[in-house]
Amino acid sequence: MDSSGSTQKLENLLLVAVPRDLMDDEVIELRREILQAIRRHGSQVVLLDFSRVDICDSFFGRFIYTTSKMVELMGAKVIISGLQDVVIETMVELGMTLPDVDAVLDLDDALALSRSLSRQYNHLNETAPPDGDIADEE
Amino acid sequence: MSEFDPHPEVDIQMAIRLLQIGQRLNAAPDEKAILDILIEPALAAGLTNASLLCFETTPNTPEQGEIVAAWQRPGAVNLALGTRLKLANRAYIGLWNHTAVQTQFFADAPRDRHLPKEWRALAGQIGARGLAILPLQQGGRWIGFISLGWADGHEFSDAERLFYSALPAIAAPVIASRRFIAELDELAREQTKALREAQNMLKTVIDTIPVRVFWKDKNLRYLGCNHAFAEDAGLDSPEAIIGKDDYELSWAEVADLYRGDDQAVIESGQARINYEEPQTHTDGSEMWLRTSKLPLRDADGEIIGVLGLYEDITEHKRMEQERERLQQQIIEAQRQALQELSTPIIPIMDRIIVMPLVGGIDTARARDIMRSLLAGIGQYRARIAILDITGVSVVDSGVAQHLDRTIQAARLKGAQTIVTGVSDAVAEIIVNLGIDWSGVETQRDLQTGLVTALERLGVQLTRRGKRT
Repeated sequence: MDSSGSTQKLENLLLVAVPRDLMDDEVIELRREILQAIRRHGSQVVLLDFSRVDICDSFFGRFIYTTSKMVELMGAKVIISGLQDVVIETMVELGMTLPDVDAVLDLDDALALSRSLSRQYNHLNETAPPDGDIADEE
Repeated sequence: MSEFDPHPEVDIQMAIRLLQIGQRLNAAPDEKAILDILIEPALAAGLTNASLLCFETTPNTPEQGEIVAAWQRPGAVNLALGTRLKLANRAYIGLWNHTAVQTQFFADAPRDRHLPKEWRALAGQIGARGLAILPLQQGGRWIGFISLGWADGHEFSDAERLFYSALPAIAAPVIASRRFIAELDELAREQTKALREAQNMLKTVIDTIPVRVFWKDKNLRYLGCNHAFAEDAGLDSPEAIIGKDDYELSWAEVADLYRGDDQAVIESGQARINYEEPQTHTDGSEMWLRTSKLPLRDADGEIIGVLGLYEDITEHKRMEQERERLQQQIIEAQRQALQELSTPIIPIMDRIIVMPLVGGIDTARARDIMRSLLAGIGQYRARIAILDITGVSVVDSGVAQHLDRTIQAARLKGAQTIVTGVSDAVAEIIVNLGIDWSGVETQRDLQTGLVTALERLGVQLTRRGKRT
């Protein structure tokens, strides 16, 4: 369990529940929290869950973009999930299609994706067990 | 100087008699009585029949007359009362031309060449051989004549000639004034009757037409209305409205609205035709009206009030609204049905859904497709969505853009999209139009699309029998 209210560690996945109203300073705070959590947990995948968000404004795209870039620089990957249909509609309308970010339907899919990613990672580094379950918690 | 004696031969007794006749004539109640008085002296001379003929109108050359009084001895023939005689002008001219207004005497009329042919025939017809014709003239106009007939012929003595010649002078004024008064009475009766008929007709018309009619004076007090209007106003009869204003009627609440319109019409002199307005009733019900208001003008063109007409269009309006509502319902239902039909989601395998698209794709349809697809992905937890465009009638840059957006939306939802049904023709069009679909996964048909989808999910299909 994480000390923070909105980030949670699951295997090598960092779950981030994005709050409904995201203000400018909160964005910075949340992003710092994410980056610290990645360092702390050594997470490989950050899942931004938007199921609580039902409006789409300019902060929104910027938050996802900057976060994904920063996370990438730390050697991890951002995936998003839980975008509501109306939010998606607006995003597509505004051309905010986030081509570099993977989206998954829900937590199950996110977990599956992170597992497959870590498997690839482990396989490449030849440090992890060759098969079976994902590495235990750190 | 000689003594004044214009007619020394006149018998004084005769003069007195004529005076007496004159006095009696003034008291005579009708034409028959007049004739009776006039012929009284002739009875002793063996008169057989007599008639008084009056011209209907009194032109100088009359053509048509009517027997207004007749007398004959029992058993004698005569023209019947009311007989109309149409006599050619020529006959009168022939008769009266030379002799002006003098009385004519004929000892044997049917054979007397002095008498025009028509008169000879007439004299024969009524059996008057001896005939005296007494012309009646008043104010320079012919009013008629009196005929005196003797069936067996008659020799007129000088005294008789003198006497009969004097009769028209005293009879004509009496008959003329009587006729004149009678004509006036008749005229007045006819006009009154015509007026009443016209009024009744007008009243019947305005009470019968399905239109409410009312008229007000310049101070907007009612001068009158028809039955239908009185009913709307909650009154028993149209008369009850006279002198009232709108504040005293069932629609007092909207009186200001009505009065404003009336005032505008009176002030501008411009009619307002066919506009719709509400009307409230004492029982609380509301009616919709189609109203026209026109300025009322007197003979000089001065505006003296306002005339209003309206029809009850409540039912019409209600039906119109009902019809609109039904139409809207049908459109909505059809739209829904169409949307469901046109954007079906088919889950074909675990986490794979297919959406076959048929027909044209416009902006509204593209939005429906997107919403439907997003909902489908959520519902079936799809990771692969296959959009089959085999049935899309036209593929152009617009459609390509719509599909592109849909694919992006599906990706943000967490599903990959494979577009299938790209025929050779469509492939050609897409390239020729310069549409960039490089980021879109496409396959030629649904079958290959499905194989691709299964590969993505890491599912392998093996034939059961192949192992053995």
